[in-house]
Amino acid sequence: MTRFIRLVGFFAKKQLSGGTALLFVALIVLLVLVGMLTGARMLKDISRGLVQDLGTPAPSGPVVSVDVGSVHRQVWDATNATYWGTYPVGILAALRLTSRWLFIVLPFVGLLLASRGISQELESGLAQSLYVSPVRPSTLGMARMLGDSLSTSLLIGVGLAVALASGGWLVRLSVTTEQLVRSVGFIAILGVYTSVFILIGNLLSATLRSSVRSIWACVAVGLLVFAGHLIGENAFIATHPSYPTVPFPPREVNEFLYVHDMWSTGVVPTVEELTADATPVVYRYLLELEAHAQTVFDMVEADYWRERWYGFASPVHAIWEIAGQLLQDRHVDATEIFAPIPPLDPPPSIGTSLRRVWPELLGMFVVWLALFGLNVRVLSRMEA
Amino acid sequence: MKGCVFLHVTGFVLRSLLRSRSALLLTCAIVGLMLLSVGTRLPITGQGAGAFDLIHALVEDPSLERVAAWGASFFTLTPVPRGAVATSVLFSNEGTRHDVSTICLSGVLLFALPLAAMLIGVGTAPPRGGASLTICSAPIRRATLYLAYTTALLGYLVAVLAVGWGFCALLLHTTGLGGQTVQRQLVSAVAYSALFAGICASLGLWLGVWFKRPSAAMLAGIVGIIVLVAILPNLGEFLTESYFDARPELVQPVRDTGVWPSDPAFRAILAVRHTPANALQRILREIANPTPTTLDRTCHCRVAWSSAKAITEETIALAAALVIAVLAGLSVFAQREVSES
Repeated sequence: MTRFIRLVGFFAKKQLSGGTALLFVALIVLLVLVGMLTGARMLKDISRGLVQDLGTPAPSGPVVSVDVGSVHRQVWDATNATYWGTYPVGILAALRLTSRWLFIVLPFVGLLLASRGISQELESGLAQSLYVSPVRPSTLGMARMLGDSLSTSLLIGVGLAVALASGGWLVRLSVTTEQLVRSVGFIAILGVYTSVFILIGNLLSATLRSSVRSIWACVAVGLLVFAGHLIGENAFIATHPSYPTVPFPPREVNEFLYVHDMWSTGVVPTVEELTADATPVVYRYLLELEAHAQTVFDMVEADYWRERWYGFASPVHAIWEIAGQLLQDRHVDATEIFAPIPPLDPPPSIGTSLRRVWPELLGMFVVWLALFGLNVRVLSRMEA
Repeated sequence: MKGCVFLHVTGFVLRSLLRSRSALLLTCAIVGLMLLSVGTRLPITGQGAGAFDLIHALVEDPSLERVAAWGASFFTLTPVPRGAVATSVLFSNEGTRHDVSTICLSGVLLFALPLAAMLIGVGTAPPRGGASLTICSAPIRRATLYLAYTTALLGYLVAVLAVGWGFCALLLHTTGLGGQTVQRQLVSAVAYSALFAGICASLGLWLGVWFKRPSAAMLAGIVGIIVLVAILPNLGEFLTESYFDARPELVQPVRDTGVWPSDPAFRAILAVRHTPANALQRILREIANPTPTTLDRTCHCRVAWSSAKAITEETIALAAALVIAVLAGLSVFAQREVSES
């Protein structure tokens, strides 16, 4: 056991001391930091503008504009929009802005970090020395996989956490304990996601036994992941039914809205004032809006579940689904953003959100285990 | 005679590129991704100009307080046509957002193409080791030799993109969407991307010459592409916003005149804003959603296809970057000692 732990430590140290891992992690930190600073500054300007115009935080409007896209994308965009309307800007909103890039970049990083590991050892002669040592090949293989994937995933996780913390501090993002737990949980899952690609890279490196060929193969796998995302998204848009338009307000409602328009009067009306002035026509219109929202929500939910199946074929979609649920604390399920219900108070726990994405998490874990086993098998049978 | 040697070397490199399995793999990947990105978006384009409009959706509870907060905006809830060309959906998913979508042709040209071009560049670099002795002691000037390599590489990339364009144009033609506007949009998107691909390929060639091990050159190139494509565009935006945040008095004059400040600090920011990926991103956005001219606004007609004038700066930036990338590689190659190989 001690020998195994020492071997894990040896491979972890080897991976980290190579410099490539540190370089890529520095890149990810930079990527997240710059993205977050840009996004958070923009969000802060929007929400600060709302407060400056009215002197007080205004309630967020019930209408958002979303682009043509899959339901996942629309739920993601609508949730972003509701966070933008709140003041002060929270850490989840900032993380949402940058994480979508990571879903595509991290597979490339994981694959490329592992692409040269074993093949370079074979080319340099280190593998030959390791395989004549008095350690069983399967132990060696297992130690290598654990050392490589754990150290890199951990490094990437720490890098992301550092980026998030420094970015959050720089733009003074607000953060609650629950939001912090969600952010850390999501970063840990991103580490596992990257680890899956590290295992694929290792497998390619051990099978192809040449650094150059292995890098080519890893880039091809990365492009396949990209293609899977592209095909899925476009297919969903094409098969997506169009939503009915929001019912147009009758004249009486328009008059009511005009009288209480806080943007032109500069005063936020109180609930008492609004209730006193609202006529039955206004209430009827609100009911109409509620019915409309329910129709749209039913359509969204049906499509959302259909799209989730694709997560088993496209890793980007799987991690996106996990991000969609974890990086929001307004509803039990992210799709409920389109439901005619107010945000939950107190917000749902991280456990509730994790339970919503158990198929994706289980799938990711099974794939990780399968790849781990396959790697150990290939390494055990490898002849130096 | 010199021209003859140059052509001979160019032909030799082109032949080896055509025989390379890895270059073929990446070529297929690029052409395949271009076709996929256009092909899978055809059904959306078929939905007409409305397919490009933003969708207004209700979120959370429509309470009295929240509806009132939306105020007069409820009057304009019906989608307003943006006047964009319907086929723009083929190239970009973003109506007004300052972003390039990864699921459209723009995304493929901006993210996947530079990666492939850079790797082809590294793979084409003049070899080291025994073969380098022959190459470096051949009776040909180093500059001519390197330029022949660059020419062959750029020629190959142009051919690859031409094949991609050909398939896409054919696809559009057979599906009845091959109108003049969409064909012009496609041609210009591919043509400007060829410049960008050339820059990335030259970067790959340069790294291939610089690093002793091809695998190290490939990793360095990928790092470079990530910086170029994913970090610099955001950095440019961030620096610009920070600059104007610190000098709010400059915002209105820039809005009124459209002329950027001329102090050295902003010149440095402009340089970041004109790095290749930034420049191509703006060009692709302009191609998909042309900025309306005064005439377009007056006659309320659909905006004309992107005018070259709007993207002059970006085109110059791309051309300059290509020259710099080639010259950098050339200087490294010219200094390479035979004994170093």
